[in-house]
Amino acid sequence: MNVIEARDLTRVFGKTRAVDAVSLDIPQGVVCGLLGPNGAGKSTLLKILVGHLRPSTGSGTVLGHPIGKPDPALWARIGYVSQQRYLPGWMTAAECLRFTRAFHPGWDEAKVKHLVERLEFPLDTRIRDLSRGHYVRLQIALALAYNPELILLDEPTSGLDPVGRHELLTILIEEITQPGRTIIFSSHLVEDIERMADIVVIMDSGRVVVSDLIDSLKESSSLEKVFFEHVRRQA
Amino acid sequence: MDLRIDTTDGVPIYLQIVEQIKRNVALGRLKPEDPLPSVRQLALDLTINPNTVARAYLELEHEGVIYKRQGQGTYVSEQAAEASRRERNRIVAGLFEKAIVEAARFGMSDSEIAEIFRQSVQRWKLEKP
Repeated sequence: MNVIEARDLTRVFGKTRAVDAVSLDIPQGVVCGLLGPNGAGKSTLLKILVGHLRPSTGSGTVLGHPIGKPDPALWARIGYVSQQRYLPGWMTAAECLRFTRAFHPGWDEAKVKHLVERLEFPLDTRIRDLSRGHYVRLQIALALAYNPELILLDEPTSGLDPVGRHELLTILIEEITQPGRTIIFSSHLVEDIERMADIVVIMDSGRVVVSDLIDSLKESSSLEKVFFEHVRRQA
Repeated sequence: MDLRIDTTDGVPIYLQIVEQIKRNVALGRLKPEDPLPSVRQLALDLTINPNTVARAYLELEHEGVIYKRQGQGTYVSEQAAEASRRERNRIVAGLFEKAIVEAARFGMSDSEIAEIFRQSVQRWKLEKP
């Protein structure tokens, strides 16, 4: 079963095609690593998949729901970690957790407790005062709190120190051992993708230039070589 | 059992696990009926995708190196040593083949190649601590 089926997704901003005719099939139970240089379109693609942006053209489904039609029933099944600071700055982390809980019937309080302990972010600090690393950790707790089937993470390891990064990867390993979970995460770090991904999707200038199983890609070359072969380096 | 993953290596991670477990068996560090860590545990220990560990275990099971006991976990099989010996022979034979191909390119005769092999073994025996 495919969790994501996308056909020719395109998103245009002015004259820029941020996402350009992207087609993707992501089966259930895999970890998909989205790799690409800055400005490749990774964040825009994730926003389209999570339903925060409409595609200009193209179609597809996410967990069986049509892409581009906002649907709260779908949001309850997706966990999303954004690169942007969209959470209300005046709330404390604890207030934000309580506030978000109200929207999710599947909220798992025991898991939240566990995640807060593991991720070690301050609960009584206002969100506007959280460091980038602590903000990401809060978002991870919020995204996983209701045991979503599909977890989308936009550059989750950027802004984390090596300890935080290891902690996050450990949490993701525990998630993917749960049946029926699918994870898509973007990164510009080849090593994170190497460790975590079953499927690698490489994007450049809005397009998908490589989409394959990591083990098939590595039969011919290292992932880093594949990456540099397919991505034009901007000077 | 000490496994090490090298992400800069061109070899897929699942194959690195397969090869290192076989090496551990060939060296006697893993013996028949020794338990292996669970997929989840090994994934956490190495900080890698559990699907990758599962694939490595499946491959090892396929080759007869390990076996699953219903609901009890994964163990080194009785015939693992035999499977690893075959593997060891295959690796060493491959290395010799490379040297022989190179020697043939230099136009060396069979007896010349055999002589170099004999001398190499002798030198190694002398230098070996």
